[in-house]
Amino acid sequence: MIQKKICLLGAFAVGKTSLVSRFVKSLYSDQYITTVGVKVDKKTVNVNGQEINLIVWDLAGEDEFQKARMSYLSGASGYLLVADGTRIDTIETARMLRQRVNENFGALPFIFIINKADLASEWEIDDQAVAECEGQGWTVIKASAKTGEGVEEAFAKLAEKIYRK
Amino acid sequence: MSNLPAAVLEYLNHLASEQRSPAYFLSDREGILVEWGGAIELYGVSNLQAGSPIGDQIFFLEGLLPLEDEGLTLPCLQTDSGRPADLRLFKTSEGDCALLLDASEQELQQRLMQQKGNELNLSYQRLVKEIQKKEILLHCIVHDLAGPLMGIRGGFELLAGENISDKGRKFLEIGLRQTAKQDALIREILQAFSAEVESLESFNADPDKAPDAARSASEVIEALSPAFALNQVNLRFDPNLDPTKDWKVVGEKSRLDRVISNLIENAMRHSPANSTVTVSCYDEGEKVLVAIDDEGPGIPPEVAPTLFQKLAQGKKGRGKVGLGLYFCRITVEHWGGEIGQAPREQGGTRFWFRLPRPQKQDVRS
Repeated sequence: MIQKKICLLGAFAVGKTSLVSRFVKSLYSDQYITTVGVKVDKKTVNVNGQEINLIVWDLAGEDEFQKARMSYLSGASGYLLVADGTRIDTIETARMLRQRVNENFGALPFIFIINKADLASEWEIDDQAVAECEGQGWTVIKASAKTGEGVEEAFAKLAEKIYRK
Repeated sequence: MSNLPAAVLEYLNHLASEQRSPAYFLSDREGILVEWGGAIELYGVSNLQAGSPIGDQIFFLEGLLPLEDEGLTLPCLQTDSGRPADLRLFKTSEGDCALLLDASEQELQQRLMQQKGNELNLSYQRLVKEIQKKEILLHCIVHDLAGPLMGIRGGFELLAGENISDKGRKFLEIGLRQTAKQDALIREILQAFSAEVESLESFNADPDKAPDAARSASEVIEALSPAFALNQVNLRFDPNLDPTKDWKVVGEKSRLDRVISNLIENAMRHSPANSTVTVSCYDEGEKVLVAIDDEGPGIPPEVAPTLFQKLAQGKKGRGKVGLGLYFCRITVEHWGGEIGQAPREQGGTRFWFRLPRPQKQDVRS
């Protein structure tokens, strides 16, 4: 079976761990528990008839005191960039992280997830910001770890991108 | 080579073994598992087979071996089935080694601090949002109040042109004065609460972009001259002021204009007819002092200490609820300045504020 390492990157409290929990275990909790270092999990997906074991590295979120550690991405085939739709500044963090990934590892396949689609009425990231990202060639998926919307799709799309590369 | 004696090295080795529960995995240059040992079960690893790819058997090592660089340190790695561990990858003569060292204690300590820090950060962000929401609500309420007020005022002004009795005209004037007061109050509320929310905004400390206090004062004087004329109070700029001098101050132009405007309007309200309000600027080296002098009755001593506080009010409550001076204070102080008032020897009051001059930043090559 093919095994591929992928990473989740983003600002703190955007919902990376919740997305992994939803994807791997179909579970969700409202309680916020910060991630220290990295949590590694795995799940098998099917891409065009080929089974791929995704090894998911859920990295601690970036904040003003702690930068995301790029060494965690060693050996990664792709990554999910995550922002919180209700916090506009997390989109800028996502951009900076993508730039750092490019500088360290080159252009890896990635999917940009804007999480918390269930809180649409509180969103600060508007359609124009989304369109700007899409205009730069990003694949943008609005998702909700809480409801499950867009989660499978995001991981599946990333697996597809990695498989086709 | 370490200069530590063998006994110390032995002790350190013992310490690591006892406290860090090491586990190791050795793979060859093709990433095939060759050997393993230590407390591997603690990290959720079991049922290993030599001769198979290491990444297939220990999933968190997928993509990491064989090592491309000399070594790699990945702190605090966790899986569902094992303890948090520091993962260290390094080359040996036999191949690549992956070493796991228990990091449970460090993870717990860091998580407690990080959790608290992140929660506080999120609370702060939510608070800022709530304040902004309230400001928007306030603006909506005030504008909904201001809208009909314009209509009322317009109606009164049109009525003033009609043929009405003297008594009617008197009532009309009362109505016009009250609408003017209401209008001023609405503007003050908007200013005061906007300033609180916008206190996080940046202002100009760059000499190229900083506002000019004398120019601001001059423009405000020009804008307020009609109102002064209506109230029969003279408004003038200090004739001895040199307009060619540099009067730049740290701040932001539109708000500086508002500060000066508030102070001048305040002076007008407390000035009797045929008196004069004078606006001046003084060079104090690294600071600029702006002064507004009136010839009014002065500030009662019991009122003076609370003049620049929110909702402060003069003794006779001349229409304002005191938000204008409060706005001036928080704005000037936010820019690193001071504000105050003092009685004048010749009668009347001087309201003043002092702001630092912008400093050019050193450019290092």
